[in-house]
Amino acid sequence: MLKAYSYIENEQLDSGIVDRQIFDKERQIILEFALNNPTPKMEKNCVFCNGATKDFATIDNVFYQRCKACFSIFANVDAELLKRYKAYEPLVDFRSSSEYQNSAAERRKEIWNDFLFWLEYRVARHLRKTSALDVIDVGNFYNAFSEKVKKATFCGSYNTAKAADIVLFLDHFRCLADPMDTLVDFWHKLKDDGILVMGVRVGSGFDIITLKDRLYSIYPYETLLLPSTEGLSIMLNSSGFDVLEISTPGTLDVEFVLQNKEFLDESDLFVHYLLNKTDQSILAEFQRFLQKSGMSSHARIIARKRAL
Amino acid sequence: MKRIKTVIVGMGKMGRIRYDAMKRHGGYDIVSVCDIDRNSLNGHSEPTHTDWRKCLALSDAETVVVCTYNGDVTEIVCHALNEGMHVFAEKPPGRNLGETKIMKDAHSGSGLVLKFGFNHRYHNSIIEAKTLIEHKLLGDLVCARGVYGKAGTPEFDKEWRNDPQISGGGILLDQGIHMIDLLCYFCGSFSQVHGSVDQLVWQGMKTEDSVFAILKTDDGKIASLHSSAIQWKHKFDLDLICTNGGISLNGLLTASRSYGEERITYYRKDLKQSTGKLGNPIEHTLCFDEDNSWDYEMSEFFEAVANGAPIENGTIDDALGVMGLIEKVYSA
Repeated sequence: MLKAYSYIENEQLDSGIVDRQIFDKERQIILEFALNNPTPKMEKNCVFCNGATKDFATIDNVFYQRCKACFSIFANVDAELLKRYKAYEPLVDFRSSSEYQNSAAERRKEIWNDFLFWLEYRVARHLRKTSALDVIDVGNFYNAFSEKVKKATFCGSYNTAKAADIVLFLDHFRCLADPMDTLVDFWHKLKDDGILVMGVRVGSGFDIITLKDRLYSIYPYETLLLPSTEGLSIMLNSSGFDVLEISTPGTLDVEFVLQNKEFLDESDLFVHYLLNKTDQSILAEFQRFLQKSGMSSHARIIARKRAL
Repeated sequence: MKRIKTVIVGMGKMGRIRYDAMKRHGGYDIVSVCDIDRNSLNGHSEPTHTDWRKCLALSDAETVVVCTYNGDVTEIVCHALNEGMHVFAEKPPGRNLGETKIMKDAHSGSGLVLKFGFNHRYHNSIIEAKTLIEHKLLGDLVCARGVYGKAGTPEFDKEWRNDPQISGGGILLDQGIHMIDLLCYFCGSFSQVHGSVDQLVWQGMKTEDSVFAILKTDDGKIASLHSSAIQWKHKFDLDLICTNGGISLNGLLTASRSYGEERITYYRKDLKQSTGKLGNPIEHTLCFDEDNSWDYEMSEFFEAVANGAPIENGTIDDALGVMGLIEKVYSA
């Protein structure tokens, strides 16, 4: 397997992608749903590698486990309940509002452009083509991003009914009840040798491991699955894919921990020292170290459909 | 999987590397190994020989992998081709252009596979850079700068590599040939050559320890090369400048890891500063921790012999192009 890491010298791009007001509003809607729909504690083996687990945290009435073998984190949520969550009207309405969409389109423009360039490059690398490809884009939140994908050089037909060269699965992995079934479904939707491109928040990332349940961006039902890169590789392999590359180009781990440093465990001396006694350039270098080492919490995965 | 009966002539460092790669591949039956130094054959269960002619005559092999000193390459390659064997030969393809032409003549019309070991094309960073250039993702390539340097050794001037009778040339033919090949791979054929071939430190040596060259293609692409045996450390750097961005390759993953981590960094031109300060556009770097180059290379040779697939890298024409350039640099 080709192992690759993105190493981003300029960390300014990501810093403004989240509009805190919009984030808090969205979070509040989701919290209302979570508090009205408690999920009983239900232990099971790791959904990614079937390893033994231990308690991780209970967040907003939902119980999370951590796999002792692969470090993945997950919550067990009833599929029907999750279906109701995804159709929860206040959330659907808010996410389709112009306020939500316009903010994302404005704030994420450059990062989307950069991502699409990366995607075009990786498509050329792995499919050896840069045009007229059949694309299925599953469940991204943003209309403006969909429009960019449709206009991308590689995109021949968007959300094709035919078998696809590329399945794009960005951001939605985190709220699946049946991740394996979903991946197998993608396997069936792809042409032989087609590729699955995933963007996934991973539980082996620095901010998640450091802040645990005090990380404000991790909450039910929006984030139920936080696989480690290892756990995700195991599941993809079991679903009929060969993992071609995993990179962790996330740029926000250190920023997230900084924003929540009052919640840090007192005994975590290394992180306290890092955050309080070093300067911005050291923190930027540390973030790059996390990216390069596969320990940022945002991962990009490319996997090829394995022929039967 | 079809299996190919193979012999290896020359079981020094490169022979052992090829041996291991063929074993990993699984399609090669190594039926015999040969080296003039019997110590190099210790531990092999295959039949061994110290005379390559006997080895080829007695082995019943379809292919031969030639990993000998440069001075022996031409004779063995031509003999094997004349005997109807497919050939993989290490670089350089002979000691000079004249020898490469002799191999071209022997190969011409034979219908046999002849491939030379321009191994760097199979390194991950090179494959990635080729993707960016070939698909014009950063626009058109306009110029390139390559530096390939080595540390040397305490008795560097006494090594066989610097005996022109055996090697045919100095650092340019030994190591710089890879960078020349890569510059051709990315830029195309160079028609203009300017160079300076020197003994800057190893004054009494019969070959050069430093070569600077400026190369230009008919369509205006310019490349510079510094091939050095006096870098006093191992170094591999290649910059590729395109109309809409740039690529830097730094380091090369080798068994010794002495050329550093293998990295490719790419960035897009951002004169409007949408991703950062002027002069500091967003950069992406891919790093590699596996060297698959030997496996890719031996796999391509296998596919060509077993299944008639075309040789894409290291053809006799690639060899002629590179050796022609080297000859021009030496005589510039």
